Amino acid sequence: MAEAQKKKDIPHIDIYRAWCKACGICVAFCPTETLARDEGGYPYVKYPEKCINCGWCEIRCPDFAITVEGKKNGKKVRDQFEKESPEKGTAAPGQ
Amino acid sequence: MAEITRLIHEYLRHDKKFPHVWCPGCGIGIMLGSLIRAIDKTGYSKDDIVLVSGIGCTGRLPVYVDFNTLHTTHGRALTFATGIKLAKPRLKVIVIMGDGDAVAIGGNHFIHAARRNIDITAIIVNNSVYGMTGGQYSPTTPYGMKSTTTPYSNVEHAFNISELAVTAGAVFVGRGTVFHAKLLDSLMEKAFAKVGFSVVEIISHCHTQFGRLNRMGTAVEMMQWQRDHSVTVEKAAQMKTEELKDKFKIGVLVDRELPAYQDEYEKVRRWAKGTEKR
Repeated sequence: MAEAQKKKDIPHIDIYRAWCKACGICVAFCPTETLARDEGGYPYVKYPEKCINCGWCEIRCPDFAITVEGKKNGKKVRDQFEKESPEKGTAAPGQ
Repeated sequence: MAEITRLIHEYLRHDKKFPHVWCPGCGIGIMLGSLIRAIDKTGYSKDDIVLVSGIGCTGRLPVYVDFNTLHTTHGRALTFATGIKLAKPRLKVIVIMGDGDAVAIGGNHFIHAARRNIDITAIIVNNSVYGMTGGQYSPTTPYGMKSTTTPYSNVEHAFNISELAVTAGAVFVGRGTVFHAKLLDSLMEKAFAKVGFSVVEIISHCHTQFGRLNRMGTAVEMMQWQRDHSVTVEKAAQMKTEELKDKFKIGVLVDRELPAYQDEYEKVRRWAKGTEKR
């Protein structure tokens, strides 16, 4: 369960292949080597768990082809969980 | 929805013209992203913004944005923009130019718009070469570099666009690179907020023409070059002249207050009408 919680916190990287021109900027300047290039030079998410949500791939993409959805989603889910079960407390299950 | 997706849907003509015409890895795309983020932050309505461009790679930019746009003749973007500003002073006029557009063919318009201090924001993408027409040398091609019309070496010395703007009298001059995209956001935001002639010079790369002829590599390598050769204004103040030899300063170069042309002109109109005394 703790792992599932952790998974929700991983930012969601979306690569829009129709607009991508495989310039390699997002891969080259990714600080954690989350992204890698395939045979055609197009980027793909190699290690999604490494992403730190810095957003530089999104900012430097000249073609608006990559988006990083931050931890908002995970936060929202967590907030919802807290709201739904206030009596049970916020401690992770199993504690 | 991610933030950038919202911006794309709001400010770009995403359903018509994309993917855009620029080369893979071109800095103009990065600059376009900064532009829409900065405009979003300043809170102007889309109908109150006029985007004017000249000819060249940057001349394609108004096609992709959903503002009032004008695609004008080579080098004359600032003159058209001056006309718009004087006819409708409430509009926010932004001019997008390349280096050839701004300081070669439109060089005279550029210095006089700065001298006149009319309320226009000029965004100049400096890629050191005429990219679209085939890589001819431009006034910003550095000394000793190659281009298709200087195949051995360029024997002329380059313009420093930002320093030219400072000397000509612009009230806000900022310089950034496409590598430092977040700095560009803040520079553009400050330039839009300024009343008077504001200039943002953007050091970009043309890996297709300039990079290929000078063996500077791909877009990524040219962006790494920008990273290694730029110093912030604050840091440059503490460095020695020898250390700054092959580097360029980035950040806010000038931020000063001067009366803007259209306000002064309005005053003269009121004096002439007799509604206000001198």
